[in-house]
Amino acid sequence: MYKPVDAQFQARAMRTGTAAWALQRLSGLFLTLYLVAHLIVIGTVVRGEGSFDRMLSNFEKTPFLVLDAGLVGVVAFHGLNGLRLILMDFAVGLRFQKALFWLSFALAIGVFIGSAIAVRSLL
Amino acid sequence: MTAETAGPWGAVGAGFWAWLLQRVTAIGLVVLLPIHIVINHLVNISKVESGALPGLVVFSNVAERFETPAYWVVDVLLLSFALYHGLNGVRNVAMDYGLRGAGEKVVTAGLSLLGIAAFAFGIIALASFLK
Repeated sequence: MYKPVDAQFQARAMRTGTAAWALQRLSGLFLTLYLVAHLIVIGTVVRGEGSFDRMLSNFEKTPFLVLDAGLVGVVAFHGLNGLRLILMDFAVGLRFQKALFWLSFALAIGVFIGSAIAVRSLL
Repeated sequence: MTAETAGPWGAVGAGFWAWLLQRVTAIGLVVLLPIHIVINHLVNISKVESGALPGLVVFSNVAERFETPAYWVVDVLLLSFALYHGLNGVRNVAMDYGLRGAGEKVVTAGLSLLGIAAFAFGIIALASFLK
């Protein structure tokens, strides 16, 4: 009776790596799309100072500032989890790979909260 | 065409260099992006223009910063590293879905062209900040 339950829990635990993989992929694709949008927005500078400042002033609105904090959090997660993947490529710390994933996740949430506080203080 | 060259570990293919560059740009971005974000949104707040939200990027701040060549180095590196890392990442996703052969060449060429065009546009945009 215990065995199937135990196996189920093991199967769930095994999925941490898959979740990490999916999150890395989704955040990577999102950040690439953001990069394109970022280049288009910053690119308004080719039309001159006025166009650039007018375009950027659109992003003073609170929803964008909240998204900015989220963006920094996503960047932090992708970067920190990416460092973990580089360690895994060189077979360093394989025994701790799950813990390192959760560490990346926790630190990214910390960065998000810190960014949100920083954004709040600018309002 | 198998682009095999002799690397330090013997014969390595183009895939190895793509893999290595993905890691090199990753480390570069981990260093450069925090600098980029902090400088643009936190360091400039003392010089903010009238009426603008502190932390908002305004043209005159960027133009002033670009008088220091080091910021150019940071931004040109960021532009090239982010474009390579992002577009090669998209290519990796396509290859994970089994893209090989002619399709792979088309996707690689398309993403390369997109990257080169975006890089050229980025350089033109950065140069527009110079007074």
